[in-house]
Amino acid sequence: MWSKLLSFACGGALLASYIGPQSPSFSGFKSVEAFEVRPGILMMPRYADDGKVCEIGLQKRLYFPEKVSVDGHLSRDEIEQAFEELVPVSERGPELPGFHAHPMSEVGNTVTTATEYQNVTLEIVGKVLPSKRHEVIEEPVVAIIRWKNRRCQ
Amino acid sequence: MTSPAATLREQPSSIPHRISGKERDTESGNDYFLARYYSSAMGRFLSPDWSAKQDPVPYARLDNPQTLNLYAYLRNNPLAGVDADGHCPPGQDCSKVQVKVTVEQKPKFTKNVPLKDKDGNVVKGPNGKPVEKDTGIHGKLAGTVTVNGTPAAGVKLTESNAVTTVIDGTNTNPHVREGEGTSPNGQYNDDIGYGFATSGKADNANIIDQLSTEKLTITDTQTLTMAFPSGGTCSATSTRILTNVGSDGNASSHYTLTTTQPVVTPNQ
Repeated sequence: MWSKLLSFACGGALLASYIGPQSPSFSGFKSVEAFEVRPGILMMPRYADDGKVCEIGLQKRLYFPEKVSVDGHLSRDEIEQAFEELVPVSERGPELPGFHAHPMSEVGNTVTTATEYQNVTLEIVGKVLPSKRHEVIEEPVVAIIRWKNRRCQ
Repeated sequence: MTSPAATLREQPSSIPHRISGKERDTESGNDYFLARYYSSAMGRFLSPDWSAKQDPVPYARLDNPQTLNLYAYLRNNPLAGVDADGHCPPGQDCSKVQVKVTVEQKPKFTKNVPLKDKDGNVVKGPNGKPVEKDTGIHGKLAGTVTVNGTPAAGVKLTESNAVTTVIDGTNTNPHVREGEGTSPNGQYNDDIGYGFATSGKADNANIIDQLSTEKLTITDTQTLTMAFPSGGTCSATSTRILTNVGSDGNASSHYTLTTTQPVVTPNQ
């Protein structure tokens, strides 16, 4: 009787070990939705009440199961390609005319340049690198796309 | 809640030296820190900190309540440094830290300032046009971190700038920007400015006209976090304002840049 119970218990333990590793509970943490829209580029959307995307953040992915990158620099070419794919002209509308469509601001060691389209604003935020001449050297790290007529939750 | 010191925990292995560089007792699983044993399973020391010099609460500092916990590893902030001998190092005393900020360059209009990438290439807009050249208003601030009046060498600085830009009464897209750097001599510089990418002379005239007639106020509340090589972190908060709104409430082409002096507080 006891040996049967023991073998049953051992079998159960063996079965449990095949179910896989126990995941720790992450319920106390805020979850963040992210999609890898191009190799190594993460897109994090925010939503309006009606479920439509109201804002997108783009940044480099640094951790991969097979490697780690320590370069958070997102080039303007990478931003442009992702922007074209995620928010095509039919979605973003035409670029607004005049200098008003290109505001730029510098605060602390960050520089932000923006381009205004009819339906969205593309904002590129970068680090300001040291320079001695009459110029600003930037290293973009994040792009933010905001829809003008959608309020985020 | 998990103790921050629990981040020192590791899976059992036969390697006798751990992340802390200390020897692990293979029977008990405790780490030998010379003055005391540390339990990686509990995330705390097994005995209270002590001092050869008679002291009711050894290594305590009134400006940091974490120093009152005699069982904690590095004031429950294991990333702040390394515990060399099992006695909590005092860390930087923030009351001896001073941050002074001055306006290094008064705001002035600048035209056609090229925006370049780190390889020196002029940055282009999303469609390859226009070439990003900035015309606008810019000022510069310079800050110095000192400890007992001496520039703080090797201090790691992290800036968090909470920015509001108000144009003719409309608050446009308030945001927070963060960045970090290491200062070899405790000195740092900050720019503050607003402008537009320009396509030429006509744009420049219009941009300067707009920035002279619209009421523009940029308020940057900056929190500077200073991590000292000796361990411990302090914060300093100041507010900088760039504006062309005069005492009469009207806009003009005359911009002022003012800053409050940073108030230094310990990071808990």
